[in-house]
Amino acid sequence: MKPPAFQYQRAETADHAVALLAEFGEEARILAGGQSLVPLLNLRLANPSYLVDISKTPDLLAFEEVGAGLLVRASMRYCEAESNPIVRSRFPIIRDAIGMVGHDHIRNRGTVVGSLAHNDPAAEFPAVALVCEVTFKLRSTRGVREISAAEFIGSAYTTAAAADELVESVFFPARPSGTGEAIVEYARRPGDFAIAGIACRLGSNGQGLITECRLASFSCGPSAGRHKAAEASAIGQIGENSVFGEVGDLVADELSDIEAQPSPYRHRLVRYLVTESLRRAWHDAEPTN
Amino acid sequence: MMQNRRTDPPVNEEVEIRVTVNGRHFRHRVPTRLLLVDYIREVCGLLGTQAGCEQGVCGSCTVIVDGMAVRSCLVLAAQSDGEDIRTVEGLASEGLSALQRSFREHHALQCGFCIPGILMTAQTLLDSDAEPTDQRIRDAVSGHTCRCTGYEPIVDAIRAAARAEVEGSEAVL
Repeated sequence: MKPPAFQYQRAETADHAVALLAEFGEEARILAGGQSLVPLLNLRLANPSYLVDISKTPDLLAFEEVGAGLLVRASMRYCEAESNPIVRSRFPIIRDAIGMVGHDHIRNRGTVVGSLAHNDPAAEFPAVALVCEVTFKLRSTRGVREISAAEFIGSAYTTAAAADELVESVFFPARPSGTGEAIVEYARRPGDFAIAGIACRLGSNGQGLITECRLASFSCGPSAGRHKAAEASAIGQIGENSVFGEVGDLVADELSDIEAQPSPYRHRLVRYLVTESLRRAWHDAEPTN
Repeated sequence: MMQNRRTDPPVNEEVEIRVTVNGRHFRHRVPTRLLLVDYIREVCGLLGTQAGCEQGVCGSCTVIVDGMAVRSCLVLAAQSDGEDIRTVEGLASEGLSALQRSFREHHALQCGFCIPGILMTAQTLLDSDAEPTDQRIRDAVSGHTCRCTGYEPIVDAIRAAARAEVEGSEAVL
């Protein structure tokens, strides 16, 4: 199908974009890469009266290192970060997550921040944002506010951003030394949305004990979410496969509890994904293991 | 007036774009809702690019924009202002391109509907990687659906085109 009729405006600056949002309110949508929004338009699942195109807005392009962290602006495309040496070496979970997003064609146009603002329950980046504890910068004509990933990520396709707020950027803090991160998902074909996925971070005390654990699932419920009880169970334990498996059981049990029809297949899959992601994160935290 | 627009669905909004398609410069006023694939087909009159699923899944509408393969059904023509677009018609200069000849030689097209998109993806692959592994070729075309299921000859054709290019042979045949 074809998109419904709408008015279209290219934003010259971030301020211009938020002025347009303030004027048109809930009938306006931000268009960045369009790889989620345009299919929704084509299917007539979205019917905004106004589109504010930020895909070429100069002050919303690209990313930059800020301190030891990474500031990802609203219109930065996946493909820009995918091959970047800084991202590859210091933020490998971003690189790995990007590699799981659709195909090259989608990554050549789609944006990290757009995926977060869309908050598809099956998308990788909401889970990555929760694990990396990123900070969202929201701008409107009323001002700028910064909120945490836990505050930003709502239920399916909803976020804490108000109708007049632009998600201007997302800040990924530097990963402390002695920590490792990983993202693992399973999809039946390359490029498909995952049946289930896990992103995690582990910290090591350098002597084989787990000092930090952050774990988020995606494509497992109404939204990406952390598993705090499972995380807490790992702290102080020895970083080994049996412990990772126990954490996997806790996460799989927790997710089974919220399913209308718990499936043994999903339970086993989630347990495997948790175990595997923790194993990889631990290897990343303690490369000698 | 703005109040009216908020309640009435806006109709026939237009925007001016300047694009380069296969080296030719175009300047058009287009409806804001016009997809790039329909701009290429209906306004530019280039019918090689196919509109398949129109939701970004099948890959038939793939074109090269500023050197990168993109789904032209997931891009508004309005967004393409200032961009350099290459379609399947832009591959051949005199006769078929080496890649196209390789597809013919390997019987890589059956009904042919998906092939213009696959050719554009394969071209960007060969432009960035002169000797792609079979896995890389498969990854690249995994974003395309061929309902004739002719995938093996397609991979063969891309591999042979890459080798022929590397060996510097005049013809793929």
